[in-house]
Amino acid sequence: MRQKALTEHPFSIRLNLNTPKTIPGPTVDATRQREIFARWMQQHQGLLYKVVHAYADTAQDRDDLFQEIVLRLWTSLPEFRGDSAESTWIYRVALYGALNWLRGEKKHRRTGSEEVEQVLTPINPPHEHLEWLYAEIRSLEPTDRTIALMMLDNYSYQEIADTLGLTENHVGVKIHRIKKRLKAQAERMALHEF
Amino acid sequence: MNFEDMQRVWDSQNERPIYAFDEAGLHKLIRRQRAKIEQTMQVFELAMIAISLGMAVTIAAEPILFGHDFHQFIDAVIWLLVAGYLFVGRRRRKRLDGAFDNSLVGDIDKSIGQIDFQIGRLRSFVWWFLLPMSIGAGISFVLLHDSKPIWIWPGVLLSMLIGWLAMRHDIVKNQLPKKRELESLREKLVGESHY
Repeated sequence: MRQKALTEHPFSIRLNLNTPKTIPGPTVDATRQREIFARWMQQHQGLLYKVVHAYADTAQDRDDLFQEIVLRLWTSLPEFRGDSAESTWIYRVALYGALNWLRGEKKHRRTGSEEVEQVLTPINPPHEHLEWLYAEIRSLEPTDRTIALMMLDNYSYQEIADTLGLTENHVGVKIHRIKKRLKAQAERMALHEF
Repeated sequence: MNFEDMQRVWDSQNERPIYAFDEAGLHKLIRRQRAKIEQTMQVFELAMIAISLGMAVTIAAEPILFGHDFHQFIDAVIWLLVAGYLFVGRRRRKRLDGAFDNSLVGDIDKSIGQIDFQIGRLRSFVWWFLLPMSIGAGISFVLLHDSKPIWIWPGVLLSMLIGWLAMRHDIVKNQLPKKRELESLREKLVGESHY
């Protein structure tokens, strides 16, 4: 169920942790290697978009945050040991990136005459109900946003707890509150069934 | 709208992504990040070369300008050799960088190559920096200041030992684990490409 569309992506791959010990040298076909990079981004782009949309308000901030997260993913690549699912690890990096970005790093970026290219293009504006849901998530405390995102993406309490360094009970309580709040807000706004 | 409806709303974006990203732009972004790391290495290398050349000039100035302490030419030549060694090493590293192609695996190979180079440079630090420095100091002590107390020699040896231990600590605690992580990642990536 989790990341349904993403795992069903035509380029979807399984991480092979039992690879042979013989490692080809740097002469591996360059086109093939580029495909691997593209596939990584293809496979998990939906996850990154969700984090970006849940943590940043404006188009420029979203692009800025997306770049920040991609750079964090890049620099943390060597730290990935395959102990957790690839998507969990990427989620973790993306969420920590977003939390740091919120803490004020964004104040130091895009100042002066530095020219920064846009890499993120909106293609399908979220429909009314989805935008409402994102707005509600954005109104939560930063840590609760993380929990809401992971909860909606069907991560287990254990996985959310491990990602955030909380206990499962604590996560359970928070999820209960978030659900209650979302439901109350939906009733207040008189949102009809999707 | 109950929570199940919200879940359906949320899942709908999996089939209809909100954004698209520019892959070429991302590659450019990552290359820019790598350039920053490269710049840091360059500053270190150029600073070390400048220090070595500065030492050579300073040490050679006295015999050239005032016509005494000619033994200092030996020190100056040693420092010139150190600068030359660093310069050649820098060129070798740059050639090595150009040998990897522009891809994720290529970038990992490049990082591994850089770590190997750094490990080699650290391992030989004793020979290209500490030893020349100690020889220079030794020559001065013997020829000019032979009245120096005997403990100066164990002191010099101790300094060399501390320098060597510091280098070894960096190799074991920082460089080798980083290299192992990169190799493990590369193994996973290349394993994937066989699918």
